[in-house]
Amino acid sequence: MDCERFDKMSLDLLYDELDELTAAAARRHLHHCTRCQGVWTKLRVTRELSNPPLEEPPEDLFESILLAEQAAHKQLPFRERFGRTVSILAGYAMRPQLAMAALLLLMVGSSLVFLRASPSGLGRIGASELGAPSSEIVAEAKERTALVLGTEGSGDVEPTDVGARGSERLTAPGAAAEAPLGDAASTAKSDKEGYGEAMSAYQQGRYAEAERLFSEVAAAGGEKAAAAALHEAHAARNGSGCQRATALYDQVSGRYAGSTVADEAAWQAASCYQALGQIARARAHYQALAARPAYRTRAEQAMSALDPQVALAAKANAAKATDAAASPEDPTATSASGASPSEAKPAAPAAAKPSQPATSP
Amino acid sequence: MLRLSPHVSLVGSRGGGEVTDGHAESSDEMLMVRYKRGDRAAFAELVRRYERALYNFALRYVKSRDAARELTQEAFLRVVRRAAEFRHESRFSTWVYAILRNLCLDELRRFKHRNHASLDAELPSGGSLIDRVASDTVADDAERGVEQDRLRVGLSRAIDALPDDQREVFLLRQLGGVPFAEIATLTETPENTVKSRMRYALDRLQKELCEYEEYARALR
Repeated sequence: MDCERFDKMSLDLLYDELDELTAAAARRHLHHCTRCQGVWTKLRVTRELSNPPLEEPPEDLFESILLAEQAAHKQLPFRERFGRTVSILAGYAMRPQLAMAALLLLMVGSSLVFLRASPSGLGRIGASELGAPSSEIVAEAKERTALVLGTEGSGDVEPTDVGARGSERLTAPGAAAEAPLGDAASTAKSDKEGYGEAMSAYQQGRYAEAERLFSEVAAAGGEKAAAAALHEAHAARNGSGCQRATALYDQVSGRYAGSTVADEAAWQAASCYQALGQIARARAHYQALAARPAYRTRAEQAMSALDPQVALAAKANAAKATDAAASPEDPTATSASGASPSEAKPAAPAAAKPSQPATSP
Repeated sequence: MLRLSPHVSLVGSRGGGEVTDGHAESSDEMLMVRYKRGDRAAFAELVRRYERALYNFALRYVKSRDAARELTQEAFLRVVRRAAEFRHESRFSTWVYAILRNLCLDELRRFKHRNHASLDAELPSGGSLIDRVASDTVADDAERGVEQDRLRVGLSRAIDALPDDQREVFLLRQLGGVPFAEIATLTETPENTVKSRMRYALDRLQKELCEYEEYARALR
């Protein structure tokens, strides 16, 4: 750095407006240059001594400024005051505590909405392994009308057809009552017409169409909704068989729990399960129905009728087990595999009979 | 005591006092942002920081205490009204000095032909401002000698004797701490011109101060 350059930047150096590198270069130049040292010393001393003497402001100036500010704040245009209010609120809103609280409220609120939106009882599907105390199953069935689906020893739970179609039309019976009164008459009218049309199709044996029409009436949620849902299950049973109908019966039973329609659906579901050979499920339904006075006798009879079926099923299982254990070279085993265990037992004494005369005198 | 908010109080030590809150460490710009968000204590802190310097700047400019008081108050009121316009493109000090400078220029234009009491004029209480500064200084610190008082009086006269453009730059830089580049912006003058004016002002002051022994002692 030379003297000319130093002169140009001496003021910046004096008021600390130079960057570090340039200031260091200027100081290095000062260290070696006697001429610039003299200039610099005079500048520095002049700056130090020429601070203008300050007079104290009037004592009330501070307060009067603040009072004037208060008054001026009130006189600000609405737009500006509104802008400041928004700015204040935004400042508060950006605070992390408020953000967390808002998030928490959002989570709680949304979970409440989802909980309320889910169909009561129907979404809950209980499963119990075979061999669980029946009292527990009954108690469960009494406690919540959703039906308990017991497995048939395999341990797997058969998926119920509570699918999208079902969830769409899952409207509580009370939902129809909440509809506006003005729509009630027209709804009732279309409800009856639709129900009549569906019933007509059902009676004519057009079960697929009847199932669809009953489904629409049930989804509409009118006074015929419960009956339509039950008939939809009937149509499914007649058209597609018990496998499909059981799921629909269970839906109806859960959705209209406590009504006669629900009891009837449970009865039909039980008979379907019985027909399908799913004895545990059938028994669970019958046990639940035994608590209803109108179905007690029938349910008990049905349960007693289930016992021979259980015995038969046990025999079949035993026969299968024997089949698997027997070797193919053993003729007795082969004969035993062809007959039931009850038939195999008398065969042994018969085979033994010829040997007795040979040993006798 | 003037209460601004439940957690902020102004202790009236000298009519205004200190703001007893956590704003002491904040930058001017941060205080301005807080004020825009509705924190009036931040504004009180800004007033506390700038009241004295702005008042003295106005006093040197218009040479009237009443006018300086009004102009200082008006400058802060403009800060309130134009708070929404404040951006972080410049420092708060530059902004508020620019406001006050414009107010001072308007005041000088308006009362061009009116005779304001000069700083050297007699005050109602007796004695000129320069004398009062000197006497206050003596009262504040008895150890300071007569030579130092003479230096201050001489300095005040020298500053007042500066040409307007040089005095303006000198006060903004020396009193207001406004950087040269920002002085150039607010006076709408090239930066080199600003620095030249400052250089001339310092040279003049240096010549005026040469006769004082304290200056010579400092040079040694």
